[in-house]
Amino acid sequence: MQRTVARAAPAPSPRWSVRTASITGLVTVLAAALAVGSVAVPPGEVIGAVARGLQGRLDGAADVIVWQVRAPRVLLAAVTGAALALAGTAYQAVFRNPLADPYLLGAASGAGFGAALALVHGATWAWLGALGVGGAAFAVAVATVVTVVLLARRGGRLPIVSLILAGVVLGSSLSAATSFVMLADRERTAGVLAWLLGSFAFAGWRDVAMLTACLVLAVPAAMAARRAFDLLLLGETSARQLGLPVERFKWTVVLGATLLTAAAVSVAGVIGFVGLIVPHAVRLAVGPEHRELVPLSVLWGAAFMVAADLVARTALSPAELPVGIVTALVGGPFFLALLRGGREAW
Amino acid sequence: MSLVVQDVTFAYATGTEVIHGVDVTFRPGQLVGLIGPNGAGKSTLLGLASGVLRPGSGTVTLDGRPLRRFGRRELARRLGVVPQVPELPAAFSARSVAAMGRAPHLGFFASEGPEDRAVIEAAMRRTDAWRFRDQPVGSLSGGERQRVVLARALAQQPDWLLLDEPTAHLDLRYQAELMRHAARLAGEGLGVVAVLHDLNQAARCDRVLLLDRGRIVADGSPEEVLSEPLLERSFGTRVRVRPGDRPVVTAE
Repeated sequence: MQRTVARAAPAPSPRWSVRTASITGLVTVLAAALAVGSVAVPPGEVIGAVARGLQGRLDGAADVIVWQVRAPRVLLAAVTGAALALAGTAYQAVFRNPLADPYLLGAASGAGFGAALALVHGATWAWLGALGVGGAAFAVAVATVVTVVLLARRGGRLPIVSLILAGVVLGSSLSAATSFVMLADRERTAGVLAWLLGSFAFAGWRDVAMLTACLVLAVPAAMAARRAFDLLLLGETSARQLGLPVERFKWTVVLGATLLTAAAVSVAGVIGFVGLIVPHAVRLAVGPEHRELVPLSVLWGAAFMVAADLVARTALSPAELPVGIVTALVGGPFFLALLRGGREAW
Repeated sequence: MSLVVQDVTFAYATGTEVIHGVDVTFRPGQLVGLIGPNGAGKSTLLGLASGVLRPGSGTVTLDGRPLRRFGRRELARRLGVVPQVPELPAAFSARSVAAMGRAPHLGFFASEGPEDRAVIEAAMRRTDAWRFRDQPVGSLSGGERQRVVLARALAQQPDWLLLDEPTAHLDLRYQAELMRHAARLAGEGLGVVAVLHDLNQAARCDRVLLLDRGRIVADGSPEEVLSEPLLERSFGTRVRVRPGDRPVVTAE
């Protein structure tokens, strides 16, 4: 028996090499994003500035640029990417559908509508103004998904098909409502559109802290649920027979992923594609087991978003592209290339 | 220590009742074959016995306790199920699929320990699936996949094994092997219930239940149940049974 146990022990090296490479990649992208900008800060300076800042000191212009201008923006991009990729992984597992993304149940259109209302009517409706754009986006996003879930519920169960249908229908209605709000006040249309396409230009440390706190809760929870996510891939009946309380699990995941998505959207706007393509790319690289998929999606999501934001603010410098346009432009073809590569990922 | 179906009726959402007042007691250490024509309710009865379907009336109890009082995980440690058409994520390795049988034994945050790994390996060796443990299940034949799923059920270390047409995708050799496995597991004290289409496999069971239009019409040893008049009435075709130690059934 001793012999068989020893032989059954998995060799950890390939798995850890992917993880190590992913962490190295993320750190490199973060460093590059801190260094590059309208004022270039050499890599050595970046390291020095980060080290000094961690000790609570800021010496000179480079330190101020790195810590006060770039760091919040870069880190917010990182945690937003991580959050959307994680939510996407969870949604794809629960829906057992590779086309599922964090916006499937209306979180994006809800957030868009909330933000549009706040941007257009915030000055006249005091309560909306008090909520702020982010607050309104978060509240309406969560309310939308909760409505979708309640509409889709069938006697305590949550059938996937009715969930998707309710999400798509309510999402379309809210997008129409957003367009209406925008058209009714053309002066503010550009502002709403810019918000909808996503940006990290107004990132602050408070946003970073809020979303980081969400991730600190969500990542361990998703890691703990890795086996349950795998079980769902066997179909709901088999998952149940293997001990998973399927309905309760689905409710919990949909709720958790929605809160995470809404939090991300409320600070960064509606940034598409990340939640869809990152889990896919990881799946194609390391396979569909969630033990790998969950942590790597978090790392790759963060790296991808930081890189996309770097492109967004440097490609047409001094002008900025909305980061949502970059993720779509880069993400779409990348995704198609992955698909054409043709490995069976599920 | 038994799995008891008590006066159970069941209707699907469409309203058609497929099980009418079935009473049956399954005992550990027995290999029970569930036979009957298409639509007799065999898989439904298995679903009721495994707790996946809730009876419309009546109860299913395990050791005297209704199934609905069991937690999902607790039940999964007692009952292993091999479904008719298992849905498997193609890119998962055979071993990863078999390892899912440990899920009901592992805490939420726990990882596989050496003991779990030993159980998984033993289960896979037992069904002769260990050889292709690293292959993605999508690349396996139907029979190989079936053996992986059986290994998964064994990795649950259940007291009860419910098999829904376990031999359907197997070639002759593995059909016989699977039935030998099932008999051996029953010999070790497990309760094994298998829905069987091949009546000659039913001849290898300790006990055979003949189900017809939602009712049990015969319950006994293979020699008793595999009789020409009984089978002809249920299956609606001429049947020839060659009696013997293990009856051989052919349709005319």
